[in-house]
Amino acid sequence: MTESGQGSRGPDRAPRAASEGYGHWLLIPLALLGLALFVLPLLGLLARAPLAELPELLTREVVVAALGLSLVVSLAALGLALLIGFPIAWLLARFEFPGRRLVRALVTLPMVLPPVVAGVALLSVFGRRGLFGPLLSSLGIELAFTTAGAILAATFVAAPFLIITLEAALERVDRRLEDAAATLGATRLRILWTVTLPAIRPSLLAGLALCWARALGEFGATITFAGNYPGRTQTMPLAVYEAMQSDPDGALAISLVLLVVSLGLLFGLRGRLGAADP
Amino acid sequence: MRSARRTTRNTSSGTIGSTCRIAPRPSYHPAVRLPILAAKLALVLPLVLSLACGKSSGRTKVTVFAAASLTESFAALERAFEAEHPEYDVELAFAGSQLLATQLLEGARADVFASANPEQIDRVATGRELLHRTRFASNRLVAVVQRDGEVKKIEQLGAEGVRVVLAGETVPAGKYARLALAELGIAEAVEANVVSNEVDVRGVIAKLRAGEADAGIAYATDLRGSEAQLEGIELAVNVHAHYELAVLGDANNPSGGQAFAAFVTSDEGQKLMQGFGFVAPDSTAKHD
Repeated sequence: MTESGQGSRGPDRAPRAASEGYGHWLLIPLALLGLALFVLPLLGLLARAPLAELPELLTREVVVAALGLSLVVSLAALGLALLIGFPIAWLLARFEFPGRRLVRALVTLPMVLPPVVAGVALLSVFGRRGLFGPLLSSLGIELAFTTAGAILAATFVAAPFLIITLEAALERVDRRLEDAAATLGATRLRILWTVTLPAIRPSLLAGLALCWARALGEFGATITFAGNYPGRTQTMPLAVYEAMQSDPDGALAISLVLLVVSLGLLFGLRGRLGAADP
Repeated sequence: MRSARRTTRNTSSGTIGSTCRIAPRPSYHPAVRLPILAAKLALVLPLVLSLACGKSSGRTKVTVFAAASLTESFAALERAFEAEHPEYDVELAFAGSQLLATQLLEGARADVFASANPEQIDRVATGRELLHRTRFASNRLVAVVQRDGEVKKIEQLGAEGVRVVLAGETVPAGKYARLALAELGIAEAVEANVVSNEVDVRGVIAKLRAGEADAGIAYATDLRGSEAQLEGIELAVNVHAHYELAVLGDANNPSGGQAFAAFVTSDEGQKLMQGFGFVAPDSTAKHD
């Protein structure tokens, strides 16, 4: 299962596939079954979405508020994730320090942690009765039940996607190019801007897209830490959840919007990745 | 600081002979390995658990959907009912009544639906066959506040800066709460203070227990177990929660459902419910 070097990608694969014997007769049906699992729910969403009432459902005040808030929260989370994520990825990729593996594990933990646990954890630190609660409130900062809280929750769960993508990319950068730039007298910042960043551009874009998509879809940590109030903390996923309680048609309509946005994001990502890949 | 990892582009075989600290490039980037391991565990664990717990006895299952506020009382009813009827195995699922009603309309196979208001049973009746429907308990609403907090009077719920948590408008507890606030004439002021709409009444209590809100409105019975931290303020209103249950005729076990429903309304069942603070249903109005 070793990854082949970048130069030797592909050529030995094709002939092997043909000589695999009967293996693919087992794999193809399973793959189709898997495909059905992923595609059918999406088709179901489309099939059951009340298309005729869609304009009415989507222009409801709650839905418009949720859509706007989702954009604000996810983009703010994306910015924050980049701000703190790049330095973390840089540290992890470029420097050996005691506890680096632990740091990496901690940074990736939010990816596998149930988001509701993330919400509880955030409350225990930033909540009113949390570790920093008294300090924050003496500074006049309220996070729980505020849009800022929703942004923090989204950043917490989404940033790791950016960090691990960036870390992997930073490790792959050909360091000789950076060294060459350094010997030519470029400053560290200039090297970062003219050598490193262009080299990791595809991964950066991919990481940003993944991070944004995850922030857009964030639900558990938000509802736990930031609560659920229209216009303030009720993002699209929370609006879907609340609508689903008693108004499945409304929930389907909002889900459809989320689906279209996410799908668009992935398609856009594919195009860019393909174009930017060396 | 000097860099630690000097990986060149073709490391898959180039580093084997050297004494470099770095092992040949692994198949997965280290940062990805943890999630992969977690994913593997996540795939295998449920399988193992289901194999371990899958053996059921010969008892027939009775599935009961019940309002969140019935969590403790129905757990006690389950124990008493199963002791009396060893042939049945009751499975309880709790959530906001509005969500349970939606799930039933989507085809959930529950035999009994115990709702915190009659409207949600009406909703289910539009799409499912109900065999039997009866009111089995009443409950009163209280404002719930922190014992060590500053809010001590109901009017303070509308005061500036007070953080109020209510159940959502479609949740029975949220509906009742808004009716009560309207009757008290403070609906607008309180609504302006609401920081979160919870999907069931237990969410209101949870936010209060976490200390994140100053006040909320819940059923008197929800305070059980939180009295050390929270206290209730009586509401001088004529708003009462009426609990109804219905047996579904088109689920798996209608006769088991009937038996459980009969037990809830029996003297023994009613006594249990009242032990948890519920009030006997007023017999004057069977249905609204």
